[in-house]
Amino acid sequence: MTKDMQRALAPAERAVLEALFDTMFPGGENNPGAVEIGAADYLDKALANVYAHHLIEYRDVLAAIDAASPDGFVRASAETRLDIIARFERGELAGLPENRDRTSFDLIWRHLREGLFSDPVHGGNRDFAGWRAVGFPGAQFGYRAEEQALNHKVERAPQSVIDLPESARLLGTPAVHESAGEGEPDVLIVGGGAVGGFLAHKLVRQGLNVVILEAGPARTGRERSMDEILATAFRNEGGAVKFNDEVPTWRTRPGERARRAVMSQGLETALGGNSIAWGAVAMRFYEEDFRIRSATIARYGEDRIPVGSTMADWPMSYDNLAPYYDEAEDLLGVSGHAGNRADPARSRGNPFEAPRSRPYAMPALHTSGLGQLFADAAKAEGYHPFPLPAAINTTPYRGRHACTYCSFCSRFGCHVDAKASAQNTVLPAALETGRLKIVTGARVMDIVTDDSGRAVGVRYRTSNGDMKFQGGGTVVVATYAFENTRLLLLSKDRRHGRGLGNETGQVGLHYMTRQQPSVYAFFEGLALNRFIGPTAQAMAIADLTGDHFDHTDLDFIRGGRIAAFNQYLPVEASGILPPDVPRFGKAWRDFFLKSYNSTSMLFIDPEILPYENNRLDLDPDVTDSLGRPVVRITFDIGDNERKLMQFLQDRAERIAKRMGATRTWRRQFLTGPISTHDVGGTRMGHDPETSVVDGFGRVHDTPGLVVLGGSNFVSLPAVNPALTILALALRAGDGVVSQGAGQQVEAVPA
Amino acid sequence: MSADVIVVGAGIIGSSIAYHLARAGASTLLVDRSAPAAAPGATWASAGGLRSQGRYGPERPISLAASIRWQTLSQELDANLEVALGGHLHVAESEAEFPIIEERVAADRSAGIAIESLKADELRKIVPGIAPSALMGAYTPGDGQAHPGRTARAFAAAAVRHGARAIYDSHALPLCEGGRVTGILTASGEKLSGGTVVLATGAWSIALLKDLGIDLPIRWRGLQMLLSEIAPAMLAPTVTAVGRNLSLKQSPSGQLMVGGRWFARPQAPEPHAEPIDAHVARQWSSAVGILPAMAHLRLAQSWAGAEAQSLDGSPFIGPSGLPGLYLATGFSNHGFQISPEIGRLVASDLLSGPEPLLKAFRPDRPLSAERAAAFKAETILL
Repeated sequence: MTKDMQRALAPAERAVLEALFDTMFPGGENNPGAVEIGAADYLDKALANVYAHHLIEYRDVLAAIDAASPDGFVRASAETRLDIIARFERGELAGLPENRDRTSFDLIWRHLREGLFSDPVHGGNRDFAGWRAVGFPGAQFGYRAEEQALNHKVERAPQSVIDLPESARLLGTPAVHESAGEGEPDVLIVGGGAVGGFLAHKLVRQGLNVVILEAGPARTGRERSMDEILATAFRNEGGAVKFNDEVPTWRTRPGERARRAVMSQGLETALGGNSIAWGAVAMRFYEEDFRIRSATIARYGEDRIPVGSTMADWPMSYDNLAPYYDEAEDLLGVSGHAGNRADPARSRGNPFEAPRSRPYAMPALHTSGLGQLFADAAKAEGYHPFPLPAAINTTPYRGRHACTYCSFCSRFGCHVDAKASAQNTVLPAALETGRLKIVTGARVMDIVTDDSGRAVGVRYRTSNGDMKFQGGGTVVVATYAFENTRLLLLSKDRRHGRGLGNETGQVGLHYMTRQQPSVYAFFEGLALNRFIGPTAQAMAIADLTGDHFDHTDLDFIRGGRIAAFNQYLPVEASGILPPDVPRFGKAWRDFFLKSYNSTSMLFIDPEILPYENNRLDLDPDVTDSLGRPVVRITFDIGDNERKLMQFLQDRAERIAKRMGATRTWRRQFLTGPISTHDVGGTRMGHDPETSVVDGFGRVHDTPGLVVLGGSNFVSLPAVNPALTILALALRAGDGVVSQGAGQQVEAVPA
Repeated sequence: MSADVIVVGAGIIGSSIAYHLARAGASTLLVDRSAPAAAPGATWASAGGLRSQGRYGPERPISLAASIRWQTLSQELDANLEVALGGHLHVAESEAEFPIIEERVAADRSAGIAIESLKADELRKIVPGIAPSALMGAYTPGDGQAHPGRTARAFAAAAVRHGARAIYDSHALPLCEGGRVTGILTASGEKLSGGTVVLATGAWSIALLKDLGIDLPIRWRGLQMLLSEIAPAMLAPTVTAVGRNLSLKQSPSGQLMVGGRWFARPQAPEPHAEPIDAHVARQWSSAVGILPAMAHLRLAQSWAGAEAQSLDGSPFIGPSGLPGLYLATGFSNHGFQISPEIGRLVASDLLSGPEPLLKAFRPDRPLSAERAAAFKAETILL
């Protein structure tokens, strides 16, 4: 199959596909049908190229559909076709392919939506017909504030990403190398993501030499901006090189067979890691989050700790971490309004937030019409709404551009570098010192120790398959929760028979991942224009977070955050349906065309507690293409979380009704792992019997080895983890520096 | 590896030269320390104005020819260059400034440039929101704007399509052997020989020339630019004013871009400058003075590029005096519009003998040595 071949299907197959698509998304008074929009062209082209691996499945599916009617699918009546599709969706047609992890209907439905609503550059959405049908203007450079007003009619000609102007002046790709060259760096960092970048920046500025080994390629992070299907939620092309090949498996409890994990979005395994596609909410944990166990016991008694939960305090206090929060915020550039703790009723920011030594560097993102609607309703319910702080510029910051309120933020690189990433903040300055070398295409296979059991370097595989050794005075592993765990378990020596850090069997335990039990709200006849503005341009409430409300008479502990986020892109949105709307036919089409610009989501970030049941280990059956076992996730939510999610959904629904929602519906509680808030697995603590690393990421049982990232978390508060991950990394940097100078950094008791 | 011509520097000038050389069939190598139009070079920072009016005499015929090239350059290079030919307007805000406009119109018209003189009411037809102070203007409807970075990248890519080779992320040190430049040394230690080495290295030329013992009255300076948040369409032409340090345009994104000769703070030792907040404020108010609606807009970005400036303001184009070394540098603030023609003329100069239109820009033109010393030492912050 060559790249130039734009069609993969035979004419007869193509005819069945067209009949299928036009039945699933028929033409109507206000819209052309799927084939006229170009969905069949899109798919036929994709099957000849990027989706060639799905071609056999398509052939089988189309044959099964065609065979389901005696005269063939194309000649079947509309009624028969709908019946066949319904049976196809239920998996009842003879000859349908068997899939372990998903149905063929799931796949085709997604591809149909891609063909209808993705950028025309991919061959569908002809003349923007799909976008015009729902009123989405596509890849706009940005929007003016008044365009976010409720019921404002957005008058813009749809535009493809290839026509995006480039008026901002931006930095190029960071300089990288193919090998680290001679000599051993003071610190060797595995993983060129946010943690690796921020740590390297700190270390080189203090005079240390640092090498970063990054498995993926170099990039600015802007390569895939404003193209919905290249994003982490769909094709995940930013992370295609590595992550797509090693997607973890998932089961809810031991004894079950693990399947390929469902995910809310893929991870990025290229330079900058998830700092490119993150939503950039940059929020500190609350003071009490660091004392979660002792504070819960002190207020409610030990019997309120949920059965099976491994809740523990963090090995540090908020005050210990506060200077590093300051440092991380300064490097990122964070916009927000500080909270007024003394007078919550008059607070522009979050009145519950921990004390800050300085204001945010920039004012908060402005409030959209939808944000104001949420804020007014939340206030009327007695809550204290505030704009989420975000690592998104609202004014020029250190040469970077201010946010333009475009439609593509979370899951995308920022087209103007308004959203902070490793490459637009710390990497240029770190590289300028001449003491940092970034080696790309360097896939670390295991950590190497000497006879004494001390980590001395790593073995890595180059992009052409050669194996190399790279030494370092200190070895830092910063590769996200999954790969941190996997690397430790796959690195064994005489003294570490169960893997590094795993002498007490703690590696992989206490895994937690965010669930997203949102409440959707449809506002009939109200244009929300929620496709404008970054995801993080959200109003939120923290009144129901943590222990900000009294749990004495409730049957659960802890809480969550409710927020009205922006960003609503049509490929994804066309898959968000109330339970009574089918996934095909006029009913689907009519609901989506009517609801696209009138649907809001009250996003719920529940606190997830650690449990004995939940862990990461190596899958005994599934490997990546290098033959290495992928991570197996064992994860379920506890009864405590089910109860608190029910509580939060009830509260969110009440806010939605007050906002004027004409109907609401809820997502399920358990939405699955790989949420980008995956934490735990190398828990930190003072006691090696119950933790893997100390508060500076130093592995208890392996000198010279530091592990950093969310995997070190002890709990998962109802706050986005990124800022805390960076603060911990910067604090660990002080640990590395003073260790290099022969001093001991004292671990601070909680 | 060797080439007939090695072009050092893939800014707008070097990329254009490489393209025209390759198109003419010369074996061409384009080398850049980073990438085409990389920060903080003059091309990266340029506001991208295409102004043919009011140019220095010897540049007029070049500028005129360039303005014709710009009409079809996107098609020629098969790239979106964000060309928008909304005209250029040079505004007088007092009667005392009228003669300056009149002289410009007369001089440009005699050089064949399509320019007209507009009265107050005619100005308002072109820019309805222009300040009441604007009384008269010189208008060149064929002028406008384009994206310098996109254009440099398109030139470089087209050069490669025509057979040129490109090496990026590598510095290029000219190799001097037996009294002539014979090639370059790259970052990887490779020696590349070339019949001629063309230095199109802008602000970076100064250190390179010094190393080669060539003394030219040239210095670098940082010029800062401002970009507003997105605004409704309000300004079709690019605008300058007799009595203001200002250039103003509305980009295809809807953002207003403010330039002019506003200096940024130089950072040592490599050419690099940071915008000065006090200048940002004055620069912005200068723009608001001519387009009052801008008062409601916020600043989205400011940046500064490093540009090479010669003593007399004209570029140095031609043989350096050192055999094998050819210069194309010192275009500070006015190289973008003429870049398509500069590339063509330099290629012709190198391949088919002396190009008369470039004669006025030869590096050996007489310039006062006394003034040169003062020029280089001058503080250019304010």
